Amino acid sequence: MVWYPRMNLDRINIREAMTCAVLGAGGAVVFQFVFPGGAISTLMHQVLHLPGPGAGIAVIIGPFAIMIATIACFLKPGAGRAFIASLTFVLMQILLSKLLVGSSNSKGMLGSPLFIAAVSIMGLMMELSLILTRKLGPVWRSIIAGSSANVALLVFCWTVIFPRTNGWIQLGSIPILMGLCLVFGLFFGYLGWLISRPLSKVLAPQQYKE
Amino acid sequence: MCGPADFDALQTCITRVAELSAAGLGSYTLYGVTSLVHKLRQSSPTVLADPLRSMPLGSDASVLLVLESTCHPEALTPIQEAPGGSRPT
Repeated sequence: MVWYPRMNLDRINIREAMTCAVLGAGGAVVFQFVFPGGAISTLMHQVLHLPGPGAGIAVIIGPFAIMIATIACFLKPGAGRAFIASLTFVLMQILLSKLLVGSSNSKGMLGSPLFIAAVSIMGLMMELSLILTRKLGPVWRSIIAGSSANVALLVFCWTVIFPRTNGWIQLGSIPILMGLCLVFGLFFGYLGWLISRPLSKVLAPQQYKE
Repeated sequence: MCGPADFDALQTCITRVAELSAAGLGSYTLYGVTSLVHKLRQSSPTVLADPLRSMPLGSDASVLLVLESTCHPEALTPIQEAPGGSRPT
């Protein structure tokens, strides 16, 4: 009674795309509710004393976006789901940041066009990983896609975004942040798959096989 | 490093994460229990009315009955002599 979805290059229809978009937007609302402005930075650097920049991306923002994208991917087979969910997640983040002034990230990076590109690349990396690992079981696929997508997001932020805002990452900080990035990426990928199982029965019952 | 420390925001964040996690765990437990009940209902044994199936599998009686009823149904009925002395075909 286990559903093993196989990712293929089937086109998704408008309704499925809308489902992914709603998931991404809803995820952004939950994220904004759970992590008010300044909380991530305080937790990462004042409490956990992690080096930066990129700790918040590797441990909280990236894994959360990955969880949303993984849920969208495993609801039904079909390419493009992770990309749509990631894109709507980041666009809704911008909208909420504009509406709720003061609750956005203090660096202002969350609403920038470069961050849209970063999260889109993360979604594309997840799509690519799911296609390349389509012969594996869903657990392996979710954790491989989650960790690889989180690494792609962090590397993009390190090389493109942070040099413009905070400066380059120090070489000594890379191992610990990369390790955290991998661990949190795979855990939240797996968590997304776990959440997608009951949701797939509600949102896509025809795909659930006995 | 990335902005001023805001411990009030962190406290709010931790409270909301705890609330959300509790709600998620509760929902997932409910889903698990519902799935288990559904699975148990589907796999409950059904009472078979067929006497052949109620016999021990492989017993002589069951094998004999199966053979007689499926392969040679005429063996169950007595063969009667025709009035002319010939056996019915």
